[in-house]
Amino acid sequence: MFASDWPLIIFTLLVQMSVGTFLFLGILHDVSFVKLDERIFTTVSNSLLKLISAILALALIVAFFHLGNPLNAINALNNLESSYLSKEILSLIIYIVLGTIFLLVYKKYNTKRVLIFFLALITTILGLITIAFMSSIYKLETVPVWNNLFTPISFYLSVLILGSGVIFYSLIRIINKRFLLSDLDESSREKLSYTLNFLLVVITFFLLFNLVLTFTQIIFLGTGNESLVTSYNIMIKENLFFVIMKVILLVVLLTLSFLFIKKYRLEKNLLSLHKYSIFYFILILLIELIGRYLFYASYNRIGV
Amino acid sequence: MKKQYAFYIDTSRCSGCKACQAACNDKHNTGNGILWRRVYEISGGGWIQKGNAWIHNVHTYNISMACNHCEDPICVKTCPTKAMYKRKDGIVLVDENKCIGCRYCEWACPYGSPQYNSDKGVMTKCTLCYDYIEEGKNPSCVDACPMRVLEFGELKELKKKYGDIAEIYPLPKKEITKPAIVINPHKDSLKLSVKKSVVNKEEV
Repeated sequence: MFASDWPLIIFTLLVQMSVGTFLFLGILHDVSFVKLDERIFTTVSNSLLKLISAILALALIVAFFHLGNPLNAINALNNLESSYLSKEILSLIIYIVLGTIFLLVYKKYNTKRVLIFFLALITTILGLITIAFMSSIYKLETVPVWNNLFTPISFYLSVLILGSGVIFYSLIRIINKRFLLSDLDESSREKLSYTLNFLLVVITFFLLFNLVLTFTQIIFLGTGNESLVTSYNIMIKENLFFVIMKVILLVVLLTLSFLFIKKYRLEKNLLSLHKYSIFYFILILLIELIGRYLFYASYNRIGV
Repeated sequence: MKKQYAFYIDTSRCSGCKACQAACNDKHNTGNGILWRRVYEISGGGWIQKGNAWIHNVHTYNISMACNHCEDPICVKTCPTKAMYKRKDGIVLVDENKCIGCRYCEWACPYGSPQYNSDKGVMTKCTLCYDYIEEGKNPSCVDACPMRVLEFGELKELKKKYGDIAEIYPLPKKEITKPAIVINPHKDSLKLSVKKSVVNKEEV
């Protein structure tokens, strides 16, 4: 792995986090059984849209640190015919422009619900397309460790885990910070807890999937061709600490998730989790960071 | 068929002396750590039982590798800036004024050709000494080789003369990038059943 890959680790995670957060924000607005009250949603979305903008701005800044010659960055769009890197950058730009238009319309013309819904939908689709191009960058016939289904699956999994993680943490934090719990009636609190429980179940499912995927990938590498076995050796011999850390953190996070879900079953109240939510969210970030580090570290190409 | 310059590499003769590598660095002043041409040592074999006897099939050979100016270059395909381009004579070059130094080509090329110059922040690569070619001379690596391992010419001429082998271990399948090389394989490189690997990598 090159030192210049670190900005890529941060960049890819930030873009995936922004797409996931936007996606789950849409779910909390439009999917009836987890829909938030309008008052709560407005407060949450105002904060989260700012956060998404900040995440994307940071991602763009970080991306420049990957380049040896950032002054030529404009040329990155020159090869839309055959370079997935060009396609990813164009798609990301369109995603950001659409997101900005959505933000302006949402702030200024809040009553135009259909337009807002349409813009949000298009922005989400563009975000997901950006991730598709992002994972296609690694679809190199000469790099077997990346040129397989594990790459797009793990990238979309990051979108889902980071997105649901950000929403879960932010929701608890914002509710506890901006609202007096006594202001919320019993049904609002129950509804909020139900939504938080839904997010927890979603996160738990994706974390379990991540754990299975981690082991499946290790087996796939270890039993593959010469290049895959080299990547396996890089993972297991040179980066065993990080592999073990990832598995341990996943197990800890899953245990916490199950405990939280149990708490919901017993008390029907998850709003009191705000003390633990930051710890929970940091664990999610750490798992994703280690996972992406291992992705780049396992690089090995065929040939010389 | 379009014009396509190419290298011929006789791996059966290569002693691994690295004169080609040194000549390339001298000619292009490539900079510290950058090797447009590199010599890899491949080794394999071990002891095997034949009846009541133990015999060995240990072998080593060298392969001198630079950019193969592929007919379907993966670096050109992946480069987002079109800094990597292919000339009409088949030579693949990098336009340093366009390059952003993203190193995507470096990930993709199975021959380790594009190399990053951290001082300039851009990719650099073998130019096939096109300035020498225009003067009617050979690339510097070709003339420097004391074993006459390397030869330069048009791909169709080299194929006519030496055949069309373009892949031996550890090179990838030629269909991936269609490298413009013709190889005379070392006899041991054809022992496909014997496990081999690139050794002494720190010496490359």
